[in-house]
Amino acid sequence: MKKWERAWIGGLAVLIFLILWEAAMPLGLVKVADISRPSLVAKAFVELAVSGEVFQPLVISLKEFLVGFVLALIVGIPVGIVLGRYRFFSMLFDPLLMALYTMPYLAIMPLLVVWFGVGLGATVAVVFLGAAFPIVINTAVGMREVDPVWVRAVRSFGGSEWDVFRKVLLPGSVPPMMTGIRLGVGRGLLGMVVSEMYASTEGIGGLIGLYGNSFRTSELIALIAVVSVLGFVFVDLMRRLEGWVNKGRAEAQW
Amino acid sequence: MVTLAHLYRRFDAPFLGTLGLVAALCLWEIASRLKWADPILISSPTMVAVALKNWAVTGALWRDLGTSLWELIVAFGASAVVGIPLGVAMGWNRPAEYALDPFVWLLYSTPLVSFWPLFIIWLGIGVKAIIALAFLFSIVQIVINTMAGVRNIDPVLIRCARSFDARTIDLFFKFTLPGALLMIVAGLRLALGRALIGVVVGELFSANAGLGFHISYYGAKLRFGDVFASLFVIVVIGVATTQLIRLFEARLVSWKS
Repeated sequence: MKKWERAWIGGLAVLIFLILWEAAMPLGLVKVADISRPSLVAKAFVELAVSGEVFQPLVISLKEFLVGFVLALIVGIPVGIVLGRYRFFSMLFDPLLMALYTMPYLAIMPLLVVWFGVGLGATVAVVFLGAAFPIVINTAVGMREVDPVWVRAVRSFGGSEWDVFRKVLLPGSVPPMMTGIRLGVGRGLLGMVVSEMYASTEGIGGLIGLYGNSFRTSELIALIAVVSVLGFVFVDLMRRLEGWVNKGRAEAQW
Repeated sequence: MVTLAHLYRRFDAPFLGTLGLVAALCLWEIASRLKWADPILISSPTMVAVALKNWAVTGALWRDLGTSLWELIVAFGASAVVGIPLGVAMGWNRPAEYALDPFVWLLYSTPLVSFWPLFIIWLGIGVKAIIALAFLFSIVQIVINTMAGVRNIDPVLIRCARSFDARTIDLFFKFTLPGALLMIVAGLRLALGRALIGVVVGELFSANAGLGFHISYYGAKLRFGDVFASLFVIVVIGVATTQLIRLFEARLVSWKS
């Protein structure tokens, strides 16, 4: 019974919420605005799915996200490694990096649109910017947190820089790196939706903007649910991956 | 020359850091002056400085800054007022946590901007929708941190107090709340940054004043000096408000120990 407590209380709460929501408009509890109803949202969702209207934008969005995110990994991890390993570079670039990191990457959307073009270019760029910084910073922190005793141990047995890197630094810095990657996923997804809503009519964000402009609340909520599920699946996937990598390690929070 | 080497070794971090920043700015200026890239598209530090000066001189800066700060304060304040009690309830009471958990996690993993069109439909274009978006951005962080803070209090302490016949209400105000305070304040600090992003994004989408509006307005006019000036002001606000809370945090830590 205890084991299922979380599940049934949570389920019950969601159910009550849905019932209240369903009843709110017919009973006139909400007069000011169209909040739709779960049944209408479900219907809208089925229609969007059956007509296939939602799939093409979803594919476009996923493509943009993946390109930007993979680029962030390809650039972010090596840069993080260099900054974490060599004190000179970290001292040189840390303030610059922090200044760029505190800048809300979503706010430069109008610049990205002009630089990289509406659609694919701007979205890939904003996903990249959103994801790259946490990856760089957490990777660097991970490299720095490795106990120098291990580095010295490898050295004293005649290990080269490459041995140090492969046997000590890389395995040691994986957990924080994974944290950075998970943060990057969330920020990248957010950037993707913002970019599509701001500038293009493509992708899932573009579709949200479209239905928003025509005030079709039910379809809008159905699409928000799609984006939510997308976010949930990605974040959960990362969390699992992180848990798997961290098995038996103490977590180093940054 | 020994002293110079000495000085360098002592202050190498700030020295190299400043060097990096200055070098980046110079590179930017040179790239623009020598037209390595179109100066209209990349702007330059001097153009940004001029834009910032003009913005301040005309007084528009103070209007935009005031608008954004007002939205930030209202959204952040409201999310703290709602979020902290919610987080405390979730940390203190298991059934409350189980009931609210699905909603919190849903909001945590959703790219929250997708709610924006909904806010426009419900609240109309303008300040209210922007505040709602920033509120949403900020409250999730506050709830999660507060809950974690309340939860992580050493159970030994609680049992100890219980065995001295402490009443629940005393327990709550004398142990739980002070114990969770650090986590709550850290949550507020993170939430403030998120609220600022919410404000800027909301203004970017639709507004007629504010820092985000300034960005999208001049972005459309290809006057990127003004865009960067606005970004600069946003970074200053972000750093200043965050530092303020950090100072408070440092105080708390020294008071705790």
